[in-house]
Amino acid sequence: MVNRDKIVLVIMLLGFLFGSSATFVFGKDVQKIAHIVKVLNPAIHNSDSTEVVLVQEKTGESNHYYIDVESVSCGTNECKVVPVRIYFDELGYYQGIKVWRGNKLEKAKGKRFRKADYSKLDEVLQNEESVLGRVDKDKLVEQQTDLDGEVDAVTAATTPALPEDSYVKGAVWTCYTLWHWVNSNLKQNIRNITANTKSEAQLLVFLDGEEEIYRIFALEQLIRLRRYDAKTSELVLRAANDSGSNEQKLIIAYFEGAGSEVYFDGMLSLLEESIKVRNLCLNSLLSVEKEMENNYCIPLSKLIKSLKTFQEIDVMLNILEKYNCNNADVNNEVFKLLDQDNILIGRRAYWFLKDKKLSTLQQTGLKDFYNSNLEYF
Amino acid sequence: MKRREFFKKGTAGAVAASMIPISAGASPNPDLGDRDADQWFHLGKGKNEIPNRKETQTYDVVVVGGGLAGICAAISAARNGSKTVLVQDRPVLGGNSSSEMRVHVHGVTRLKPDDKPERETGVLEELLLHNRFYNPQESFPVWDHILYDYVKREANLDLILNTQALEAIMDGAEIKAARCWQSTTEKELMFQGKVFIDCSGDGLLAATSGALYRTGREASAEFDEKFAPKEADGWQMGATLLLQAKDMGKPTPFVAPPFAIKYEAEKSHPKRSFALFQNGIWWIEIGSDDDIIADAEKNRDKLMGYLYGVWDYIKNSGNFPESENLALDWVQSLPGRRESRRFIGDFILSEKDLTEHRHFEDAVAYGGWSLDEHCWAGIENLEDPPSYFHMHFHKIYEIPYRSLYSKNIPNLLFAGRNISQTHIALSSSRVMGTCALEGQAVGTAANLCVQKGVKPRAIYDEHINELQENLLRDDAFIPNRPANDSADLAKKASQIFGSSTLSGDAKNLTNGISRDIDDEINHWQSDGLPATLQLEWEKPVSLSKVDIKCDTNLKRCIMMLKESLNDDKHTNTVPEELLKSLQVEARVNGKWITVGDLHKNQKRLIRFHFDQVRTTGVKLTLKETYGANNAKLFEIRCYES
Repeated sequence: MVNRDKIVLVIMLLGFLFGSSATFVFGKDVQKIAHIVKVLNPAIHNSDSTEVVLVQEKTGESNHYYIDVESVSCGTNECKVVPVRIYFDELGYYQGIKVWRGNKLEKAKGKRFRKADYSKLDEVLQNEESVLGRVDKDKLVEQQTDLDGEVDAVTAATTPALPEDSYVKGAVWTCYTLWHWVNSNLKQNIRNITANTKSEAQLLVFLDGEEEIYRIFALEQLIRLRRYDAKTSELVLRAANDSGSNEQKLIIAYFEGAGSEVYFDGMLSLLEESIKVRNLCLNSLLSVEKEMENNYCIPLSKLIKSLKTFQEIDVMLNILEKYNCNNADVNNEVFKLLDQDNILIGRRAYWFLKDKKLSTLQQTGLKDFYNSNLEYF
Repeated sequence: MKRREFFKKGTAGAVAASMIPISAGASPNPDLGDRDADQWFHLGKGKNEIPNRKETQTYDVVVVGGGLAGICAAISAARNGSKTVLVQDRPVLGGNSSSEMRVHVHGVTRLKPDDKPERETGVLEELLLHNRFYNPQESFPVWDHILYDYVKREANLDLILNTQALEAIMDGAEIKAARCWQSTTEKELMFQGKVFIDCSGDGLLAATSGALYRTGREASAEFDEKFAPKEADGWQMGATLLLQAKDMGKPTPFVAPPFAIKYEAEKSHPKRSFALFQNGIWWIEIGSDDDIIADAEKNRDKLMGYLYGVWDYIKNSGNFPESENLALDWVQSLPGRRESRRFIGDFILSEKDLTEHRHFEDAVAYGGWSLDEHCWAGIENLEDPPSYFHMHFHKIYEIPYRSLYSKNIPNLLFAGRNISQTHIALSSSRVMGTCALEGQAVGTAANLCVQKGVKPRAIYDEHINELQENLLRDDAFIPNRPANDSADLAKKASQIFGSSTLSGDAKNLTNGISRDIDDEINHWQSDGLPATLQLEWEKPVSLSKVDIKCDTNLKRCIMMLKESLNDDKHTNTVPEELLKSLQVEARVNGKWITVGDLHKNQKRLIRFHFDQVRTTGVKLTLKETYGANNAKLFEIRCYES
């Protein structure tokens, strides 16, 4: 660690006596803000979180972050510990690792990391699905290739089998420790801190932007910050058409976090305009616990004609039943389904209409439908 | 009897010569339950009594041997409707997996290249899951009672412990009864039955019935086996004694007892590994090229000597500084056997059937452990590697039904290490997971024999399809054999769909393959929970049963390991994928009615049985798993009755 940073850190640490963050402006453009964050790293402790200083480097509009930690918390007490700095971008994604001059990461038997090892370490740390996230630390043993995995049926298992691509050979503890720093709640903390540096306008620009990871970030934060003004809601709706599945879920989650009116308006708009999120909308309407005003029944029923499959129609009728949509306009829309070739749809419509108040003509029509399709009842 | 004859025949012969047999032609052996000579004065009754030490009971199916093969056989026979007895010669169930032996329940535990399992489903999986729920402490003695509990719960099934089947009582060529001795009660028990299954490993019942069997190693030419010796010989893989050590927290010296046999490390093949020695060393083993059963006690004594000799080497050679604080905590007393008799069926499974993955129309089980042939003589042959590990499998192989019934005893089946196979084939199929699948197959077959009044061979000749469909419905997996049950109404549904789909397709749930295998997806996975799965029929159907097979991650082992691993290939808890709570509804006259509601499910195969309804739709609401965010199903079946 260079001397300048040591001074910064000391001043920050003094600042912590008075709160969980401290700010130091260094030079004209770079602002360093330190945040205390509690992180659960099972390499250190299985259940108690460790406090770590998350340093935010703010340069104009952009943010970067880092933490200074020990390279390894070792189960065998045989590892060499060196200080390392882990860098994150403003969305909490791992950027890289730095070992200060004079120090090197080491593997077993004192062998130093080579360039290829650092490259592999980067890959390991970026793999969010790594088995390192699931394995118990007291079972961390590398593959013993001299055994060739041989074991007899009468015996114990072979040594624990970590896939070789999940660690740097000879440095499984280092990989385990650092992976758990990188893939921890630090990411969400960073995202929340970054969001606090952005205006709502900036978040909306992200929402409308080209980069999916920023669109997802924006949606997440708009939900967290509960931004449900008309302009924001409109932009969220617009985002649905070009969205991938992760965004779609967030769009639905956004509206589910809103009050009833915004929610139902949003669902209706999405159903009318975006086939992509249709299934998610229908499922949301069926499962959400919100009170719905009756004036939504008719517009919902008018969507029936745009639904193509039995599944979609069945869910829509379930929704109308859930919200007790029982009026002539709704019944008229459903009645049209009796004419469909698909008997499943027609029969489903019959059951919807069976106990509803219908016109005389409709009652006759319903009866005729039943009598013509007795074998399906 | 003349004196010379006495010494030839021994006391048994002398007794036999003087006894009147139970019935003509039944048995030449002494009547073990006869206690007429007792001089017992019963103070409570105030008179002399003769102990009552004979019982005869009648069953449909008699299963001998309470290891995992026998347990699965007995449960399968009983569940499918046969009155069944399970006879076990130890005080605990489990065979080699019991607390007396503590061998891990391997099966297809690792397939190359990624060393992932292709886990066994069916009854075995139920047992292993049951253990995860009720034995989180992973105690071997408690595992004994997990098995006991599971067997005792089964209606139609009686369990008899501490009882060895000594002899088959014959009626012509068929077994009429198993004559047994219960050591704790001095009782001679006769179990009469229609069908007999010998899962006892050594197979004394089967042997005394006159069933054909062989021991030793076949010559390579007999079955064209690359890994067999050039000439046939008598060598059989040996039995092992295991140990477990514990950390005393301080240096704990060890002094070898006088019976210890020095371990000659300098002569040992380098593959005699000491990895994880504190949980047992599998190559402390003695084989035999003759009568390995008769040599059992002698070999056990030697094994004790070798075990303590090896431990002495670990503790006192200076080569294992990590052993300083370790002390022996448990030492096996009853050696875990690998091989003895192999009975002859209509088909002898051999090396190429495994290595070339031969397809059998009568496949009923599968294996995939390596060709793990141990060196002849075991630890008494230090020059060779302890196992030759001839070959590792990349995919599973099939085991045919014809290897599971006797060629010459019409009502005898077998499962486990004694099935009809060569020595080389045994080197792979002997693991308990594979034996358990064989057990489920023969138990199911035995029930079919009882139901139809036929013998095991007739199941092959005329009813093999029904046997396979029965097994598949009960969640046994048969490679290359999709289920196609004509009674399954789910296959006739017009529509099947999920409320959301993360992977797979709801239509896969009726394709007859209940796992992802051979790089094919055969599941439907929801995107989040709760989720629904719905079936619709155009015309109403009558239903009283809905069966579901959910995910338990068959690429991750769930058996109990001394190391208690939790990584991407093993779990030491209840699989998070397992469905925990779900509900089943049927649409009756347009209204959904609940026909099943389960809150703490503990099985992969979930069965709902309800009063018959006339319905046009079934809906599953999948509410919760044991940790996974999504629910994954592999099959749904619907039955009228």
